[in-house]
Amino acid sequence: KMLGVREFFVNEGPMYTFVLLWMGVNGLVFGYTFHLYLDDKYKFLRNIVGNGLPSARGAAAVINLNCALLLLAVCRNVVDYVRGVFQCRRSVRRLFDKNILFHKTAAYLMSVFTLVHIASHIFNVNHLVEADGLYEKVPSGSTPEHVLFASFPGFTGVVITVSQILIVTTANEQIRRSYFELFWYTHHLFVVFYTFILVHGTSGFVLHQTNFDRVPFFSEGTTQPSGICDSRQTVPGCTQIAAGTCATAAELAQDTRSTCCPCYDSLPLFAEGSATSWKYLVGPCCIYLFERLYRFAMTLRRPLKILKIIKLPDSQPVMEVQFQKVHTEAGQYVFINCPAVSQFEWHPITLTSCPELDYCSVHIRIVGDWTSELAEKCGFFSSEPLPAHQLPSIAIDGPFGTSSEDFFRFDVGVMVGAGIGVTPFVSLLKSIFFRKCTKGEEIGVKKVYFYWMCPGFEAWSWFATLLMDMEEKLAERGEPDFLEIRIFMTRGWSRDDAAKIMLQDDDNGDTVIRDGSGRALKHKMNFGRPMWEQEFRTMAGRHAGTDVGVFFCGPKILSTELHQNCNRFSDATSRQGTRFFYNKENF
Amino acid sequence: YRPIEWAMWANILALAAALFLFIGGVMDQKGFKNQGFGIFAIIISFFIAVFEWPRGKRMKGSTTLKRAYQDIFTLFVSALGPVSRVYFVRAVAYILIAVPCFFALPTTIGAVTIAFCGIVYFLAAFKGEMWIPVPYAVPETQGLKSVSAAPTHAPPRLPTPGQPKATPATDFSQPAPKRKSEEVWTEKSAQAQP
Repeated sequence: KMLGVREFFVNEGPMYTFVLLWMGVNGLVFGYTFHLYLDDKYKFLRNIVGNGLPSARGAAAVINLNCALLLLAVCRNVVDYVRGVFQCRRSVRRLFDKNILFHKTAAYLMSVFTLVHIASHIFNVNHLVEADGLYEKVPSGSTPEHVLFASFPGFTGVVITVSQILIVTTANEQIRRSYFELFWYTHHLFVVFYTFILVHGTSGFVLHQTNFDRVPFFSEGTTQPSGICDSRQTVPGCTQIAAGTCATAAELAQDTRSTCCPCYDSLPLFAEGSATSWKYLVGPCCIYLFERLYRFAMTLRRPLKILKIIKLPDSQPVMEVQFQKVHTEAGQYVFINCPAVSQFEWHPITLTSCPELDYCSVHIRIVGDWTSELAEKCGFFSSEPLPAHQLPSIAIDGPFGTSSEDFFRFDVGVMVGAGIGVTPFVSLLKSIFFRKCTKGEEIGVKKVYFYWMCPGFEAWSWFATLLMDMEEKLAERGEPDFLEIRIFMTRGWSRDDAAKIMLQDDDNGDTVIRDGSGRALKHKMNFGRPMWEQEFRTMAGRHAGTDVGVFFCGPKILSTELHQNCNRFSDATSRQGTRFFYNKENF
Repeated sequence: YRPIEWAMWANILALAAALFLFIGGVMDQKGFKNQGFGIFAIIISFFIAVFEWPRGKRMKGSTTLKRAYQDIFTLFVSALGPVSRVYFVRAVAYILIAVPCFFALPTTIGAVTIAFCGIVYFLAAFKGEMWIPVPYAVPETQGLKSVSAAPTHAPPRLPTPGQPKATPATDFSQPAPKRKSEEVWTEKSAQAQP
C-alpha cells in the first residue's frame, strides 16, 4: 500500500520540511554568491580563470554556512535549551532529537562542496600559472606547486583539507563504534580546521577591479583592457590631449574636474577582497566556546558522590550506580565522567531514576574498558562493598532531554525497549509509579503499552519488581488496564527453561519473571519476537482518533521496522484515524 | 582492552584516496600538463577501490560491518594470498603509487591521502595486524529447502489416506535417559502426591 501524503506527514513532515528549508538556503547561498562573482568587477579575473572563480566562491559560501550549522548542532546544552523554548510545539521539538544526524548530514554536504571548491581552485591555479604574471598575486614564473603550498590561501587550504580528511575518515561508523577514542581525539582536529578556515581568506588573494566603469574589458576572454580613456577630448573644458597618450603630472594637477580622465585610468586598478568566513563562523564559534566552558565549569562545580553500588545479574553484569541528586526529569540522559578512570572521557548514559526519588541512578552494563574500569574502581568485583568514602566521585554534564520527555504529552504511550534499551523507560515507569500509582495524580497519558524484548531469563530481575509493584498498585486503584505489559523472550527456551516454566506455573501467574519473594508478573509472557504488524493493528483499532506516541530505544534494524509501521498504520485523513508518532532515543 | 586496529582506518583512507585519485585523474585530462600521470591515477584508483572494498575480519571483537557486495570482492582479494594478507605489501605499494601522483596538480590530494594511508598501513603491519577474509555467510533462509504448510486441524491427527505412515525415529520401548530438568520435575510431582 502506498503511503498517503498526509500519513507520511504525521511523522516525516517536520523533518522533510526542515530538510527542504535547509537545502533551499544552501541553494540560495550558492546561487547568490555565484551571482556576485559574475559581476563586472571580476571580469578581468574571470577572463583568466573562467567560471572556476564563481563556482569556487559559491562552494565556499556553502562550506561556511554548513560549518556554522554543524558546529551549532553539537552544542548540546544550547540545543537542549532551544528545545525547551518550543515547549508547546511537539513537532518542532522532535527535530532537535536529530541534532547528531543533522551534524553528520551537514558534514557530508560540506565535504561534497569541499570537493567542488578544491577542484575549481585547482583549475584556477593552473590558469593563473599559465597566464604567467598577468595576475599580480601569482608572480611570473611560479609553478602550480608553488601556488598550492607556498601561497597563503594555498597553504591554509592544504591544512584544512588534510585535517578534514582525517576527521571524516575516522568518523566512519565502524571506527566510531569500535575505537571511539580514535574518533574522539581525531575529531578534535576541528580546532585546527576552524582556525585555518577563519584565516583562509584573509590574504585577499581574489582581486576585484575598482575602475571597471572607466576601463572595461569589453570582449570575453581578453586580458588586455579595451577601454582607453578619451574623455579629455569630449568633455568641454578639459585639456585637449590625444587619445591614448598620457597627461604629465603637472597637467593632472591642473585638471580638477572629476569627469576628466587622468591617464592612469587606461590601466585597470585592483583592490583586495575581504574575508567572509568569519561572518558565518564567528557567532557559532563563540557559542561553541561558551558551551565548552559551561561544560568545564559544570565538572568543577559538581563532583557528585556515589552513594551506592548495586550488582545486578544478567548475561553481562550490570551495575546500578546511585549518586547524589541533581535536578532531572524522567527520561533524560547525562554525560558521565569519572576523573578516577579517565579525565577526558564522557559517556552518555540514560538516567534510570525519576525526579520523585531522593537520588539519581544509572544502570551500566559492563562491556568495554571504560565501564570495566569504573566497575573496578567502585569495588564492583570485590565481594565486600567498598565503604562510601572510598568510592570515586563522578561529574555529569546535563541532564539533557530526549524524546522520552514527551511521553506524557500523548494520550497513548507505547514504550519499546530492547535489551539494555529499556533504561529510559525504567525512568518513565518509575515516574508513572510515583505520580499515578502512589499519589494518584492525573497524568496526561491515559494508557501505556510497555514492550520489552529480553534475550535471557535471569535478565533484569531488578526491573521486574517495579513492574509487579505497578501491577499491584494499579489493581488496587481499580485501573489494571492502564498499563499493558508485553514481554518477549526473544532467545527461545531450552529444555531446562521449559521445565522451569512448568514448575513456576501456579496461581500467581505464568511468567518466569519473579522477584525474591516469589511474586510473579500477572501479564502473560510471550516467546519469540513481537509481530509488529499485528500489534500496531490492534492498537490502531483500540485507539481510534487519538495520537499515539511510540518511543523506542534499541538497535537500528528494529527502529526501522517500528518507524515503517508507525507510518503505515497512521491515518491522518479521517477523524477516526489513529496517528502514530515515532520517537527514537539516540542509542 | 581492545587495541586500535589501524588497518580499519587505513582501509577507509585508501578508498577516499581512490576517489580523489579518480576525480583528480579525470580533471587532469582537461588542460593540465603531465596528462599521463592523470591516466595512471584513474587506472590505479580502480585497482585500489577493488582491492580495498572488502573489509578484513577484525582481529578482536565480533562485529564486522560488511560493505555491500563485499563477498564477491573478497574472493578476488583473498586469491592474492600473502599480497593481500600482509599489510607491509600495501604500505609499500601505496607509498610507491603516491610518488607519480604528486607530479600532476589535480592528483596531489589523492597522492597525499594515499601516502598517508601507506603510513597508517605500516603502523598496522608493525602492530601485527593482518588482512583475514570475512567468511562468506550463507543467509539462514537459503538452507531451508521447503516450508511445510501449517497443519489445518488440531491434534490428535489421523493419518491422511495415501500418506505413508510415519515411523518413530526412536525406540519407545526403552525408557529415555533422564535429563536434569526431568529430575527436578519428578521430584516436584513426588512432593505433590502425598
